[in-house]
Amino acid sequence: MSISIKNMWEFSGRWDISVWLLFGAAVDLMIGSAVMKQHEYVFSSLSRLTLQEWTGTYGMGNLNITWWFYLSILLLFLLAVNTFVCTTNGVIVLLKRFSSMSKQVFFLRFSIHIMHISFILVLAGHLVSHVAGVNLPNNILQKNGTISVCSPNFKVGLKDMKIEFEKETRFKTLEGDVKDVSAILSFADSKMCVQEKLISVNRPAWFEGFSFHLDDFSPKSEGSKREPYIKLTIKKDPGVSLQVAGVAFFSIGLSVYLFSVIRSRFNRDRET
Amino acid sequence: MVIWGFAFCCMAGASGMLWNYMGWSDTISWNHYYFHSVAIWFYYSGFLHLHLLRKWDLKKGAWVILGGALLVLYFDYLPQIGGIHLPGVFDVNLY
Amino acid sequence: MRKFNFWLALGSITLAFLLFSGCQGSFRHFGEFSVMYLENNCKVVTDGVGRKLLLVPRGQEAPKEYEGVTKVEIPVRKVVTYSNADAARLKTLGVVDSIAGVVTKKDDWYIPEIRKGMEEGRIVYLGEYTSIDYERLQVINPDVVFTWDEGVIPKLKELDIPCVITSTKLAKDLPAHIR
Repeated sequence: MSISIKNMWEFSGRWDISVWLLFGAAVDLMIGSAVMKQHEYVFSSLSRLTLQEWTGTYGMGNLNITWWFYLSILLLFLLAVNTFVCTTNGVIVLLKRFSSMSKQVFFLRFSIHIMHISFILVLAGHLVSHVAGVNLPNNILQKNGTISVCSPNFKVGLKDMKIEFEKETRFKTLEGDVKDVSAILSFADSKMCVQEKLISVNRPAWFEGFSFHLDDFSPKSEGSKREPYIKLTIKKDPGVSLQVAGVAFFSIGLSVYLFSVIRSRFNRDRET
Repeated sequence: MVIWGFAFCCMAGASGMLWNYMGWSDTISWNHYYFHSVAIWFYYSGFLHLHLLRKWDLKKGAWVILGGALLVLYFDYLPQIGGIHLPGVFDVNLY
Repeated sequence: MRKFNFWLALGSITLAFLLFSGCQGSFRHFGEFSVMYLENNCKVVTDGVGRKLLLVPRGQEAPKEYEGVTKVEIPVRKVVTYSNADAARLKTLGVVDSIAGVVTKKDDWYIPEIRKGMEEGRIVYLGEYTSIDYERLQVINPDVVFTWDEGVIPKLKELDIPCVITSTKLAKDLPAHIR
């Protein structure tokens, strides 16, 4: 079957293809979430493996469980192509008619295209994260210990850690449990530049393109004789900036769209 | 109304991505709860395309919304309430 | 107007993806644990927290693409085990005689082979898990340490002793531990 580029472009930009792909993705992900519930471990390893590593191990070896995941990647790819074609056509038409429409109508229609482009950015960011990311989990650091990250010149050390325990709380069962944990990391790069940063739960540190997340710690109860340590997850994620940009632009587009909807509703109510 | 619901759904998704990244270094949490939410997001996105492009009338669209409401009830609400226990009458874990 | 074969393009992309994904050998997983079988009887094992270990037959060189991965020589002859459950599993596998060090006192053991080994001095008590005698551990020089305590990983790395974390994040993984 031979298809011309022009026909493919027109076919890709059709509105019914979008709707089919959106509902198709919804159905596929619903089936997938039901399958995932039965086979958690096949997919949980995606948090530490890249997509290609996962395909070579869990993915291809369990196709009866993972088929829906590959189908969803295909559907999302086709949806991204469809969105791009549709948005490009829409923006070209919009710019041609810019002089003949009001600013309000222009911003309303343009905000929709901003949302579409940011959707593609978010999808691209997810793909880049899981294909090109560098993930180094399970880095145990004890006090004054150091580890090398990717090269011998880039070192991370634990300078100090502080675990706060619950004391004098109304919930007696919580007394002695951990309230908060924080650690001061010292970073040294190849230029012997040393920096100190504080990390805590849900409060990572960034250095030289890597993010350092506090994954686990010990001890977890007061009075434990265990030697204190923290467990870091170190990650270099080139896709995060794309995702952040996508979310930011989506929020802007959505805000402009909602503002236009409110304004037109207000004007309509005023006229009646 | 659906547009506002969808807007809040988008905000929830974005804040979830941020929370997961800060805690676990990955914007996607690889469990079935995340994929439930994403599936429902796509479902409502499909409905909004049909409605705002004025391709379907409101009567057909209402059935789609009803289906979406049932999906939200089954995937997002029922897992949180656990089982329904009326001794001797009804004793079932719905999820 | 250029024309191209749609199916040829789709097939090429699929083939490239499969090749790029690097299917290397057979792969089996049991909960959080997994084994990848490589050539020359080597294996890459993932433990309960996702750490990789390369199992290499004695006298053989490790595959170059796994440089940097902790190497364990097989068959394993001497082990140290932290957990009584791990010792029980080693007994089930018929290799309880490979245990050379434990962190539970003799009187707290119910496995007769271990009690006898401790009486005869073949199995050494290394102290409680919070205060392991690392000098004694170095003297034993086990091939691998089975532990649930991730805090010992840096010390064992200094001593160049491989360790396997046999616990997982979820307690319901017990069947996977056994397998």
